[in-house]
Amino acid sequence: MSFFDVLSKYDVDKFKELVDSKTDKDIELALAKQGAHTIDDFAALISERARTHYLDVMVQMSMQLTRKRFGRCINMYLPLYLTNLCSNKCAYCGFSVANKFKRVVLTLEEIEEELQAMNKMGYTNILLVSGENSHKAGMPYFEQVLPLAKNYADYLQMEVQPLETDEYARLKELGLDAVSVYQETYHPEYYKKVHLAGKKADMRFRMETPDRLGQAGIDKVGMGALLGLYDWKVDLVATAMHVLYMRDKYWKTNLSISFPRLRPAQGGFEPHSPVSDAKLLQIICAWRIFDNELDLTISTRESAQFRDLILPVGITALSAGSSTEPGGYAHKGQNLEQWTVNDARPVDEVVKVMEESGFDAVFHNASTTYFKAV
Amino acid sequence: MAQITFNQEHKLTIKDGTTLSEFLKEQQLLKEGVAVAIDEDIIKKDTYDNVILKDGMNVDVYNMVSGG
Amino acid sequence: MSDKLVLAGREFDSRLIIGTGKYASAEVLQKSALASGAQIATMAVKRVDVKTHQDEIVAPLKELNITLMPNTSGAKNAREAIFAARLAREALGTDWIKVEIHPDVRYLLPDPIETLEACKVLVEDGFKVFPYIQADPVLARRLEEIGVIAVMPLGAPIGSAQGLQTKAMIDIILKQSHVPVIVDAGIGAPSDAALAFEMGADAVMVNTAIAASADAVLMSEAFKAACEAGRKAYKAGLAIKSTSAKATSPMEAFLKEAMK
Repeated sequence: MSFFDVLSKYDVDKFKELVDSKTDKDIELALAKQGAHTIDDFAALISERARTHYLDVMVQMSMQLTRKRFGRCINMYLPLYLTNLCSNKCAYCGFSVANKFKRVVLTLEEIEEELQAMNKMGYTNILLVSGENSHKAGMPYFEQVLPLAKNYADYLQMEVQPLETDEYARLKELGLDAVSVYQETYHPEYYKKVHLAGKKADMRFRMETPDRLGQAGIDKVGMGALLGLYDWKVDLVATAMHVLYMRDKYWKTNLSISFPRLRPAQGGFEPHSPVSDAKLLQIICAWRIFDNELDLTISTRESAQFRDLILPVGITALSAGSSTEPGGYAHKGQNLEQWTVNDARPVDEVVKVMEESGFDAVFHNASTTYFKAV
Repeated sequence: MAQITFNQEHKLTIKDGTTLSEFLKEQQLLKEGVAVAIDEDIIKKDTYDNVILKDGMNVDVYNMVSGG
Repeated sequence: MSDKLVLAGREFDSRLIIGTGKYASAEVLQKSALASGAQIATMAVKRVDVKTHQDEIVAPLKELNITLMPNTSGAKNAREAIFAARLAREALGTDWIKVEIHPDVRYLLPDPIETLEACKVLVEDGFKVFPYIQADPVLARRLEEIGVIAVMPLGAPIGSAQGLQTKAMIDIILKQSHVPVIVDAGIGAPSDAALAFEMGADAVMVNTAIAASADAVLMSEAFKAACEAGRKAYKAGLAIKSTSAKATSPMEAFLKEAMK
């Protein structure tokens, strides 16, 4: 029984009603609880009523909970785009197989150049990203890339196509610490509508990836939906259920949540229900209150101004100075970006702002959320 | 006659062919809440009539007591 | 709505489990047990002492229809505990066993390693196992995975009457456990028992606090009331504590717009 089987029992569209039905009493109960928050609590925390009447309280609470659990440390990570080659046809993504542009798969030499450039920027927490193509960038490729990357990384993460349990176990032996796989949307019909071709069209396989990661013993699993792709109320509630499921079933696995908002990409896809800045702030607070120990990650998809605003509220990991094109650190501007970076400030500038606000930008290891097997 | 050790300390002499049931009855221990181990093997209650005590056996009788 | 305690498929109205040690006599024990409303009582298994007379406790408790839960107290390791469990099964005809292994004679703290080993064997041997443990959430998970019926984390050392010293850990166990949680040991006052229930405990076990009190029967009544009170409070949901805090600027400016 996987999470896909669990979720299949629900009509996920009803989650919208769940959120909309929450009253002040429900919100106050969720805020007063000392732990063991339920889906009903989460639904109350992301409701519109919570935004208009309780957001200030939620912000304060989220700040306090984050300071208590994580102190003032923010982990710095950087994405390394290995490829922009993808065999999926996703209606909203710049890398879609339908989009015509020069496809690149970095060679080991090119990867090494990138890693050296990233180390020079100060980074040792590396997130390997690729388009999803098992033929040209599958296990044989990864089995070569990981040992190379491990020479330059204290903490190694991947955001690539979903793999099998034994494949994750193998990559773990080669030094893999964390894997992110975003469900995009938990709504079956809409998922089918926007994932037109490629392995990604298999919703079950994708949704069961966190299960496989748990079974393979990967240290940390990153999850989340693409906010705005479908109704964010539906997708956030489903993600929260997924979190509860993972906490319960794979209690030895760390969890990380991201909240990417749909951004302009080549192909010009319009969001179904866009998420405003105010709403995103609320969502971050809701996550922190719902589960005190979650890693909450923000990327350069968001603007400088917004990132500076929300950093103290609940974020535990941040990227800065990022490039979303393969080879973009050593040789900028040669390849297509997956999405346009919004906060384009160099990492030193971002770190300066963080330090002025009293936060420690942690580049090497030392964090309660990134513990390594001894 | 056979000699057995009862509850680690007591050396007792009993008639040849004494069954466990008979022994317990003599000791006023044939009652509820009692268990027996012979040479550290726990004896099933429904076999007490068929177990013959032999020379050299260590017979330990346990009962339920107040505690914890 | 029924709020019965379910253990190994059996239902109980009372959530107070009593130990039988340190009572002045079997008569006091029986009167006290009746006053407490307890439906489960624990006892140990020992070699018969032919010299001194010991009060019979099995019959008086059975008269009250109390379910007997033998324990392995006295065992210093898994092997001894397993042996004691099998003896008790033979003696009472029950497959219930509380695994209690404390080689530490001063504080009577349970040995987690011997306990886990003993439980593995006993579960496989068909016992319904109730392990007594330190309030260790990881150990509780491991025991749950091997098939114990409930977990019994301690509040404080046996007989110390220090109350829920391990409260924070018990809280975590209560959040994570899929099997009933019976808070056992260290409960010194009825208020400790009430607190355990307010936190969400499924049952509590009390021995010394009742048996060693000046009036065991009266103390039993007190504990009965406290357990019921705590459980009702938990079911009713504790009062909401209001939170009012203001954010600092530039967040203030943002929030002004954001909450429109």
